[in-house]
Amino acid sequence: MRLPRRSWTQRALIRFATDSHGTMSLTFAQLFMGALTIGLGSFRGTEAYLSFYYETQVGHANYAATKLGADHARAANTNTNNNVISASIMGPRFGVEADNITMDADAAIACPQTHNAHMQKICAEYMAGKPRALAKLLWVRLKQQFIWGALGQLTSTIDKVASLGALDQVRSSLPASGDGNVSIRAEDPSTSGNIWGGDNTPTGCSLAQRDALPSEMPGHAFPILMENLLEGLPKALVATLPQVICGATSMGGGGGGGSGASSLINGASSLVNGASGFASNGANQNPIKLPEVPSISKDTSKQCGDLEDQMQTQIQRARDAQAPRDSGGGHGGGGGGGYAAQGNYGELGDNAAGPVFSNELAPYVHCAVSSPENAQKRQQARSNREFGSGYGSRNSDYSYMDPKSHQLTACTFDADKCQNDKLESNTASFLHNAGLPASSSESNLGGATHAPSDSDWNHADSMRACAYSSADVNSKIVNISNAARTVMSFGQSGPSTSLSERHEYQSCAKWYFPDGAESQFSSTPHDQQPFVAAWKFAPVAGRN
Amino acid sequence: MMAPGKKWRKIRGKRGFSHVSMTLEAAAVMGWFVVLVLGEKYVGDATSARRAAEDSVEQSSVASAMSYCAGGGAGASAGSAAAPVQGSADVRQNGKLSISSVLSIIAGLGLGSQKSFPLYTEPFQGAFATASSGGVTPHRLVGEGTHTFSGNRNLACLEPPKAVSPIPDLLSYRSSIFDTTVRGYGPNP
Repeated sequence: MRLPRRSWTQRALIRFATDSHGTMSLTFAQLFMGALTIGLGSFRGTEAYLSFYYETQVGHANYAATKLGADHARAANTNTNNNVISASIMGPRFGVEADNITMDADAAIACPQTHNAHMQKICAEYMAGKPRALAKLLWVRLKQQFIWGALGQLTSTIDKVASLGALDQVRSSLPASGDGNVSIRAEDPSTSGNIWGGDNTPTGCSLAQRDALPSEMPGHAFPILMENLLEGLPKALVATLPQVICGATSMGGGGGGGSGASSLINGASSLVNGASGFASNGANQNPIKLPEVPSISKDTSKQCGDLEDQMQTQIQRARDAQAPRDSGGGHGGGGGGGYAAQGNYGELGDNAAGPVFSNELAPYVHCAVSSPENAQKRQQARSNREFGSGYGSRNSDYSYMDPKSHQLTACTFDADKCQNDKLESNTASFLHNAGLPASSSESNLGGATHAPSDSDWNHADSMRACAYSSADVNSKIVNISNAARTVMSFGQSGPSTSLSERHEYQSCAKWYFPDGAESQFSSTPHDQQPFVAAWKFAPVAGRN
Repeated sequence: MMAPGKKWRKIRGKRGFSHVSMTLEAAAVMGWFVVLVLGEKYVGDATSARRAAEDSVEQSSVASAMSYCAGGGAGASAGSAAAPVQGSADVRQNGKLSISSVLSIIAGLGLGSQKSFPLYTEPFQGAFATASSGGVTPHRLVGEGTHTFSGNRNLACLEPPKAVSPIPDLLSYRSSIFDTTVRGYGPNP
């Protein structure tokens, strides 16, 4: 009987099954595939672990960086509060200072008028109310200085405190998340220095002034104690006082000066107008002058008038000492146009001498050989003074025959310079008597309002911090990986060193003022950003 | 023609798969491979599940923190079909500035109602997000029941701005200071 014919697959299977070498082939295939599978499985497990390990470390670093950024942003907003409160208490101080000065000025007008019953009533009100006003003044000064000192100190240290607190918070949360062996460190510039060390006191005082001027404070800083004879003076003083109190050098000069001859109200309005730009005009270092205070203006006019009289007297003596042969000369030199013809003086006598000017007077006297050109200049200067801001329109042109050069010499009194100098010194004396500084070096605010140390704060490296997370790779994973490496390389490869090394994973954040075009705070001027509580944080790629 | 008994004796005498021990060994190797393949699937599913959970947590925590910690975006993403993910995020207090000494100093100024004043007093906030896979069920040859994987993420909160306008708000602070202390209605000399 013949068996049916088998297909080729049946024949191949029977041949493999009955082959005497099949067992050996199967055994080698098993060994090879088994080793390969173990290797692949091990690598797959270590790869999964390491990816989670990496993501976990990045997560910890992200948390630490955002925590640092958020806490610094909060510190920045707290600093803006410090600045706003500091500026807010300065406005009331301006008001109280101005009202006290106004009271003194009122008393200076009213009290000497002993025969005027109304004025005597005002004087009596002054005497009764001044102690209260003075007590309020001293209190507000002390309070302002104390607040500025305390809040300025807080601004200087709060970022360091916030940074250390943030890291403590992050580290304390790690054991709860099962990663107690994770190490967190930070690169934060606030731990090594004051990142809010900038001084923006001029801006703070400017903001206080802008807030105070249209407010109810000027003239009403405390309950009415007496009738005010100088209606516009409190507001004018509030416009000027920032320059006085906050320091002439730092404040700039927009609000200073004024014109001596201008009326009180006009002076006040010019000061108010000038005040709007004083903060941005920091380079101006005009000395402080208060022509609006009647006693200062009056003293200044009197002093300059006396000096001019001294000059006139000295020149007259010099003329008298000369021995004019022409009887018509001499005494008329001071009048008219002030230019006397040389022929009026004739020859000098033996005792002829020039005028002697005191040290106080000399800076304001300018003498020169008389000529038609000089006379024209003097005439021009005189006419300018008549229409200008000088203390008066006195004729200040005097001539005499110089005994040395034997030439007619004409002298002028520099009334403008005298006015400026005396106004400055009288203002300084007045301010000192009122307990106020007269220059920036005398200014004592007790502290300052602050801005970030780096003026370009939104891009500054000092306003960024980075956090670094690291942890050891699990030792079992390292051992598995090393064993797999050995198996796969048939014993040729040694243990891995990269897995046992400690790697750091970085994440960074910045804190900044959102002045971008689409932000609601895009219109905030740069110098006022440290006064607006809108600072925020954002992750960044790294520090610069 | 060969007798039937002689035929089986001839086959039994052959080597290779015809031997019982060889057949059992081959079956064991095949079974081992099956287990390994299923294990690979199990590891793959587990990896995908945990990765989906981690991604979801990351997205949730960032979204929560960046939306003023008001819970916006707190829900976890759906994850993959093989590894569905559920998650949640909440806002927790997370530290506080230690400035109590300054608070006592400015307390006498009558301040506290201003909108930006709570910057001195409010605790910090952080978004803590948790997400977990809905359950990965491996083949019953590998293990019984479902296995879940969870992930946690912390982030600090982004606070909404406390400023009321783009320009410094001195009026609210100054009016309180002026009324309370300078005019004499509050603590004064």
